[in-house]
This record gives sequence, C-alpha cells and structure tokens, in this order.
Amino acid sequence: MSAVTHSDFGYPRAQGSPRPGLRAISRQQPRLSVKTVTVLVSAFVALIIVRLFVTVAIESSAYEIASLNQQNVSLGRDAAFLQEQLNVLDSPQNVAAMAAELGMVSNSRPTYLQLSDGKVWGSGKAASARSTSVATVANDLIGAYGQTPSLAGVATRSATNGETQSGSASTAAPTGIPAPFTH
Amino acid sequence: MSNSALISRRIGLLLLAVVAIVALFIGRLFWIQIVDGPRLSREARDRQSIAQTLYGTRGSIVDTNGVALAESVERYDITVSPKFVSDFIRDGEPVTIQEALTELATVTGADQGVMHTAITGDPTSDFAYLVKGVTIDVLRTVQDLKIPWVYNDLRPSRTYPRGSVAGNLVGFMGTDGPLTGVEYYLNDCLKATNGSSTYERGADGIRIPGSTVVHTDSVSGGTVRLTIDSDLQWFAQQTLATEARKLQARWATAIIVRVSDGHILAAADWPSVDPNNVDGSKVDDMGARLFTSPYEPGSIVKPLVVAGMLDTGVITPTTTIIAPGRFKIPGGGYIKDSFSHSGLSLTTAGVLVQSSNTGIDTLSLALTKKQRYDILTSWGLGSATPVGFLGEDSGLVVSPDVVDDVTQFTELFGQGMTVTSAQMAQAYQILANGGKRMPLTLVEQCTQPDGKVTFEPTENSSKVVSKRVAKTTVRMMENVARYGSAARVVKVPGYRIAVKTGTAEVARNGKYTSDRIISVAGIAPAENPQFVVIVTIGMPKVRRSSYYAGPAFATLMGQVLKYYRVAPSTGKFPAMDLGRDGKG
Repeated sequence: MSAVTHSDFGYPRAQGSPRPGLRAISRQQPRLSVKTVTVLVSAFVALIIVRLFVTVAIESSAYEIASLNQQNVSLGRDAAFLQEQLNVLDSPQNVAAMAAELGMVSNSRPTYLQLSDGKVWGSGKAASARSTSVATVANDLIGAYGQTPSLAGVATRSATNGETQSGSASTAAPTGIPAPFTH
Repeated sequence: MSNSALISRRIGLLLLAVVAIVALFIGRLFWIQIVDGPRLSREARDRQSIAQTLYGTRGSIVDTNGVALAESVERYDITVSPKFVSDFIRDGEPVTIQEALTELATVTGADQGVMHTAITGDPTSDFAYLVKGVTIDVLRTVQDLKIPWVYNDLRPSRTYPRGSVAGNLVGFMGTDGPLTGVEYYLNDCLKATNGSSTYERGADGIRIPGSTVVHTDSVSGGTVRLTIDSDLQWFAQQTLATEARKLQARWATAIIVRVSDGHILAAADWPSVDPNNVDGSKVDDMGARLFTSPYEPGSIVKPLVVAGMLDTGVITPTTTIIAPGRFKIPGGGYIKDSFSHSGLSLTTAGVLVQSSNTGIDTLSLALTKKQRYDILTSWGLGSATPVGFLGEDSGLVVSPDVVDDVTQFTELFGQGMTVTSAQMAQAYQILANGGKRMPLTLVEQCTQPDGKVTFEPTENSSKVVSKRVAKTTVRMMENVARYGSAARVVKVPGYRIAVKTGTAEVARNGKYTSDRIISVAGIAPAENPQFVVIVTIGMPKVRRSSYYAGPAFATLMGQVLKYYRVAPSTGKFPAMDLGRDGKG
C-alpha cells in the first residue's frame, strides 16, 4: 500500500484535517413584511376594481352608441317622412288650392309696363274670380298629407265673405318695399 | 361467500354499470355530434337565425330643377309570428290577444277580423302579415303598444309627390316592378339591388342585439333628371284640362320645347294618370299620347312643306299661283279647301295665311313623288324622335314607291299621313332654330349615387333647311298669326308670334268623319325664336275648328314667355305680299 490513502472515490485527502471552507449554515427563510403584503393585495384589488370600472364604462358607452345610432336612424326616418309630406304640400296643385282658399285668382294674360317709354303691353284688365279653376290636375296624396296650413293673421276667403273692399283699403299703405340689407 | 368476495363482486357490477352508462353517453354524443349533427345545427340555425333583405333605394325621377316627381319612401309591414301569439303582461297588466288586436285595429285602421284570421289561420307558422304598408308615424304607435309577438318589416314604396303632374311621362310601378313611362324605360338607371343579412332570435322571440350579419350589401339606384319644369308642366296640364273640358274633347296634348337645345319643358296629356292612384284612370290615359298616339295633323304640316319647297328652290315667297276651288289630281280625283271659293290669286305666303290645300298642292306641282316624300321625312316625320319614349310611334309618311296619286297630294296638308305631337314639336324646333335640328330631349341625364353619369342624351345637331329659308317661313307664319283664321285668339300681347293652325279630319274605318283634331303650333318671339308651343285637341264635341285651340295656345305661350322672363318683342311686323286674295 502506498502512504497516501485513497478514499473510496479515489480522491486524495489530506490525512487528519477536516474539510476546509465548508460549514452548515442555517437556512434563512425570505420574510415578507405585513406591510408589503397589504400593499400588494390592495394594489391587486385596486387593479381589479379599475378594470371593472373601465369595462363597465366601455360597455355603457357601447350601449350609448347603440342607442344614439338607433336615435339617428329614427330621426332620419322622421326627416324623410316630413320631407315626403313637404313635397306634397308644395306641389303646385296644393299651392294653387291654398291660394284659392285665400281668395287669390290667377291672371293668365299678364300685362307689362315698358319702363323706357311707359308703354303698357296687354289688356291691363284685372282677373275675375271666374278665371281661377283649380284642382283639375289630380294628386291623390293631397288627401293624405296636403292640408292648408292656417296662417296666423291671414284671412281666408270664407272668413272675409261679406266684407267690403273698402275695409281693406283703410289699412295703412306700406311705407316701402322690404329690401335686404345688402348693398 | 366470503365478505371480501362479495365486495369485489359489487365493485365489478358498479364498474360495469358505470362503463355501460358512459358508453351510452358516448354513443348519444356520437349520434348528436356526428351522425345527426348537421341536421340539428341546421334546425337550430333556422330557429334562431332570421334572414332579412337589405333594401337598396330605387333612384328618384326629378325635374330639371331637381323637384322630385317620383321618389322612394319607407313603408312598413306589420307582421306577426302566430306561434308566439299569446296573452301577455304589459306594465303589470294582463292583455288578451283580442284586446291587442283591437288596439292594433284602432291605430292602423286595419280590419280586426282579417288580422284575427292571419293569426289563427296557421297557429304553428312563424310569419304572417297583419297590416301592409303603414307610415312611420303609424309604426311608432304600433310599437308603443308593446305587443311582444308583433314585428315589422321595411317595405320600400314609391310615391309621386306631384301627382299627375308629368304622370304621363314618369309612369308608375306595379307590385313586381315598373309598368310604364320613364320608370319602365329607364329602369336600368333607376333600379336598386337588394342585399341580404341575418340576425338571431332568442327562444322568447326577441331579437338578440348585435347578432346581425351582412352577407351582401345593397346598391342604390341612380337619379333620372328630366328636362321638364314641373311648375310649367302643371300649368300646361291645368290649361289643357280647362280648355279640353270646355270643348268636350276626347283627349288633348300640349308640348313646350326650348328652341336652342330641343329640350321639352312641358309635355302635357289630358286626361292624364295620377301615378299615386292608377286605378282612377282608364288604360288609354295611362301613357303619353304625345309620343305613342299618331294622328293626322292637318294644316300644321304646311309650313314644313313650304320651307322644304323654298329650300329645294322650286318656289319663292312671292311665287304667285291661282289656288283653284277644286284641285284636279293628275290621274283622277280632286281636292278642295275647307271653304268653297273660285280661283284665288295667292303668293306662297298667302297660301299659308289662307291655309289653302289646293294652293299648296298647286305649288308642289313641279315636285316628284320622291321629292314630296323627302320634304316630309327631312323634318323627322315618319320616324320616331330621338327621345325614344316607351312605345313611341314613328307615324306614317307613305313611301313614294307605293303612295297613290291622291295621298301624295293630301300628305302635303297633313291628311293621309300621321304624326305624333312629339314629332311635330321636333319639326317646329328645327324651323324655329334657323333650320338646325337639335335632338328633341326629355331626359337630361342619369346619375348614379357615386356621381357617375350613366345616361346622357345625344347632342348631334343637323341641318334640315337653310337659315334664310327657316327665317322666311317663320315670317310667313307671323303673317298667319296676324291675318289667319285664328288671329284674334292666338295673340300674346307684347310679343311677335308665328303660328300655323290645323283642323284635321279624323278617319274611321277608311272614311273621313265629322270628327276633327284641332291644333295650333307656334313659335315666339318671332324675331328671335326661343320657344315652340303646340296645342292639339282631339275630337272636340262642340267647337270643331282650330280657332278654338287658340286660347289654350295663347295662354301657354304667354305663360312660357312670362315664366322665362323673355323681354317683349322688338322690331316691326314683317308685312309680306300675300297675293290679291291673301287678305293681308
């Protein structure tokens, strides 16, 4: 045998000396303070709550958007229906009927005054009440939508029946023709 | 048996039962998922998923100023799912089916019995109509009733806000599509393409929000803009109706054309259809006679023949002839005038003023059959106008190869040949425009929603007679307006008017009858023509001479000149030599 003893594993070992640099140490558990835990937990809870609020906010906006879209469609339909009725109200048949209701008559033979020499073209005769004939051009929609809007302060023919022309003649003459304020 | 053996046997049985049950479940799962899977999922989809049509909007027909003559509107069908119909609770109050139907009948005006039948007819069905085509305000009141088994469907509809104003031109729609007029013949421009989508419905029949899936988008149709001015059109129809009623006529037409571009500003028919109420009209009155009904025009053809002869050089304005009381036709037969007379000494202008048939035939003696034919057809007679209206007639000018000896002469005063009012309007446009033909136009354009123009009328002009000849002929017609038979009624104060009147005999079963078609065709202002107006009144009962078409003509011409702010005429009346018997 040699002077050097070998361990069972074949590593040389100094005789009689303990293993150097190796010692048992007590295992230190990492320790979270109560404070840290509280902070972390409350952060987590806060996060969940914020997320909840954001989700609720987003979803309620989605509902709002949907409701506004619905409102938009609904108002669009209202506008279209009003336009449809307006198109009937301003049809020439309805306008003519309304004018006749106000006692207006149409004069199909106009008269012109030539400014250069004051010459009058045409008969210059006023139209007679007989010259109006309305509603010969049919429009079935007038029954449905065409009404005669009652204009405040405007007398209809039926309302003025029996009044004399002099009644209206006493009204003060307008002082001028209304003109726009542009130059 | 020992205790442990008993336990292991029980465990064995239990295991067997578990295995059997699991096998049963797996088998059922296999059946549902694999074997019967497609059918079940289809059934589920059908139960939940409701197909819906996405309607494209059919394009509008508007007048030259953009006023809607035909437009698409939204109407709603109130529908029901009979299998879901039951009594229900509304705001804590129970409502029976009968009560709900009574409420529906009140707000929609529909028949309650009919609605009841719709519900009870097939109680397992998922769909039935309750009320069709209600407006949005009615739909809202229906929705406010909160009946859970009532739904609504959009039903695109067509409305004609101006009623029968231009109804003869616009046409109308039937249940399956356009039936006549512009609606029909420009359908390719107007039509929309529908798309499709589906949405899902819960077990309670309520639509699940956000479940809509669009499969194909809808495409809206284009807008057709006519040359018609709807206010002027209304005035023309109103005037025509008033005058035609006075004369107890069968029908009447009036057409107003702008000389510079051949655009038709008004094309009135009487009687005329109201497209909103088609059932209120006779079938004959549903179209546009102006384009589709040919008739023998009578003497309003004469200015065209005179201009044609002046252009070929066989006559001059002062060519003087003797118009015989009877014009003997080479080859037999004779022609006479509307009034009996002995030989009249007339110039070309005088022939027009006196509207002498024998005179115009005498003037034409130097022409061949072919030349007579060419003169008439050069104005577009015998072929349809460039408008190409639905069912447009081309009229008839008898071909020189087959024309008989009499007809070749009667055609020169508008008998034995036929025209449409539209053709006459085109011919007078040429005359008024210095002999230059601008194609008669009814449709300005078709514009698609993206702004693309898909239809534009042709603008090819052509020369028919020389400017000098056209102007001379208009001057002659001015003499007709002053000295002709209808001079008293065709006047428009302040303006120089050029006219020609016509009183045509109406043939029936090959024989001329006492019926007449009376007309006045005119141009104003004569010194610088801007508008052509032609009034034609068919078969008046009480007054059968062209004189009685005069008031309608003068009213319309006066209105057109006023409407378009034409300054009163300048210059002097161009007196012409009418001949000894022309009565100038």
